[in-house]
Amino acid sequence: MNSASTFVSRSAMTFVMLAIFITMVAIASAWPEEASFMPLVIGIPGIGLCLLQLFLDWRNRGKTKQQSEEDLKQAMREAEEKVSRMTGRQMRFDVAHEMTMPVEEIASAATARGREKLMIAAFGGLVAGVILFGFLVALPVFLALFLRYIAGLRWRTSLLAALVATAVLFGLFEFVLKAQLYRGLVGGYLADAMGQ
Amino acid sequence: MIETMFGSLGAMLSSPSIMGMMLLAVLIGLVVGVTPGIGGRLSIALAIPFVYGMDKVAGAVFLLTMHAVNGTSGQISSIMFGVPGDGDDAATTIDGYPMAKKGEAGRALGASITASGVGGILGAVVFALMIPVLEPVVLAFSPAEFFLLAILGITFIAFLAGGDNIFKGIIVGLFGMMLATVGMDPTTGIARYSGDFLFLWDGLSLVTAVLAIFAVPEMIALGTRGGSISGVSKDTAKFSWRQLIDGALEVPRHWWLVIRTSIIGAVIGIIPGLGGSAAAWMCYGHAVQTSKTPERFGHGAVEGVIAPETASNAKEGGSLLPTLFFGIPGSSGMAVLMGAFLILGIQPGPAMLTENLPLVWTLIWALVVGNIIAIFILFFVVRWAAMLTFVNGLILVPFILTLVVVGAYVSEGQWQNLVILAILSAIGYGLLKADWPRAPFVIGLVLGKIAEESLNKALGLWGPSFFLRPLSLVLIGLIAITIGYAVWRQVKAARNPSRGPEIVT
Repeated sequence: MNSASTFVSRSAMTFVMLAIFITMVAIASAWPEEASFMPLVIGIPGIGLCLLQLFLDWRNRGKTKQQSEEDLKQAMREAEEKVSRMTGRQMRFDVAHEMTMPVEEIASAATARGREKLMIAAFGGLVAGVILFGFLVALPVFLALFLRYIAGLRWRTSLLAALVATAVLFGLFEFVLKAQLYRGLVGGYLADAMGQ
Repeated sequence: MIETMFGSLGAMLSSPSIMGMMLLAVLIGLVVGVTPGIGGRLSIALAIPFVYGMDKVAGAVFLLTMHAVNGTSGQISSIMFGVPGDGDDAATTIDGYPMAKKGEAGRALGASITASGVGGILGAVVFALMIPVLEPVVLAFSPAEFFLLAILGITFIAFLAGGDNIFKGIIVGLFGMMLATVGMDPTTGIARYSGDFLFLWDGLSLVTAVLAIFAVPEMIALGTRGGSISGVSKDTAKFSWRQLIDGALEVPRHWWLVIRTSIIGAVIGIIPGLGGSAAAWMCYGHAVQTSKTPERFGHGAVEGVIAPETASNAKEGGSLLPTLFFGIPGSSGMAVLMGAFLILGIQPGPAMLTENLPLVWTLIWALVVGNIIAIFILFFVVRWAAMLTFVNGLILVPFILTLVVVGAYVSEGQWQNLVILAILSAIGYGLLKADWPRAPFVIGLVLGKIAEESLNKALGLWGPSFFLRPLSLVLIGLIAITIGYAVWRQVKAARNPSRGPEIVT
């Protein structure tokens, strides 16, 4: 990947923030002075900082990103070095030199990309499902499908867990906390149609 | 003062509902602490919908207790399996895990549970002792200073997120402040950024925003990562009661170390921006320096477990002080907690001293009593609690996402908040993926309205010259020093890239 594309991918979030600030400042500038004062006081420095961040990203575009999730042993070796400096004596931590340390099973990059898309789709599906069909329908369906197909549980376990969780949530919110859960746009439409 | 202090304790202990909430909070906090993938911040964010509309004292006690005991169980996996729950627990792993490997897991756990609980209690004591000292300082603040305090709060929390990320942190904080302006402007009646969407006229739902920025991205990341722990021998989970009690007795045996590390931890907690794992590492170093046999550290010295655990939990009492009295959260967890307090109707600032002192004392007592309850419960359940470390994160994800969606809806009973949840979640996940700090967003969103009110009042009273008031100049100086130090650290790191990241973050 060349340095320009590295810059664009690394700075994507800065561009998003810059676009948000510019849009909000542009909208606010059309309001009377009293209403626009605070958004401008915040938004203009926000734009300035985004530009500064873009400059910093551009300056560092050639550098590879430091590994963000160092393994535990490496982190412990660094801690050993720091504590040695802090205390003025050479420390040696057993955990930094163990041959077998616990590991967290992390999915490979390709699997992780696939899972990421799946997770985003699952969350989007849950939100859309609740808006359209309400909590009573969307929650058990989401839970059962997620537990079966993503978490890999058996159908029976997935269905049971989904039904129990939905019942507990409904009981808690509808009866204990007296908060009525949303019935959904389709559910509301059907209820209206039946009422008429 | 004494009357208020003990009156609050009496009222708390004699209220079955508050004590019941506290017991529930301890249980949830302990489970959350040991379960992988759910941190203290996330647990508070998830709990907000449940305390919405609740009596503010009961709600605040519930959330604070849950937050306070979170760290007490967090070290179980560090000691037994060498898997630190978060940054605070890493220091405990250094001596805790070697102790477990030598067959002293029970002793290490007994010492860490007791040290953590005692640290939490002593942190609350330090907080209580600071009240009369800080009272005149807090009361000297005017609207001019509260605007600058909001900016300082964002700067500190951006700094806390990491020196090289400070500009990103401030940008995120300003984004939060910008979103706080959404809704009806109180002076002109203009619906800012709301158009015809009536549900936005009262402003953006804080619960929805916090859940979107913190909970959803964490869950997507957890689901993507998978994340079950393997390669760990569960044999270390076998230990006797005698070992546990022997470990607990190590705390009074090292009482002087416990007092010193509690004070250091609480003071570090008071200084916003230091937070994180600084308290644990500094006190670990202090224990090494003051030991007559420092060569034992790193190979299973019990003082190496006691010192970081005491400091980590004492820090919570300390960080409550700037959160409650100045509206500057001492840590990112406190930032989310402050947002929850505002939802409950608790406004941080001088009014906490003048009008809400009984509540402040109740919170201090909640820290004390919550930690005592946590010690007793953990002693009985620690060996089973340890097994929660092996829960597959993928199974937790759908249940937590469900809670998030329900929470975002019930906070205001508006389905449109689910659309806001989805949009802000996309931004939150973008921030997480790009390694941008997210805690400043909450501070910005929480302090945005207070900052605007303070700015309007200050301009009305003094005009632009309010920036030249002595206290304002001090705050401006602090903001400049914080940013300057972060920039200096970044320049230094760029010149010397071979050196690893600082322990104190």
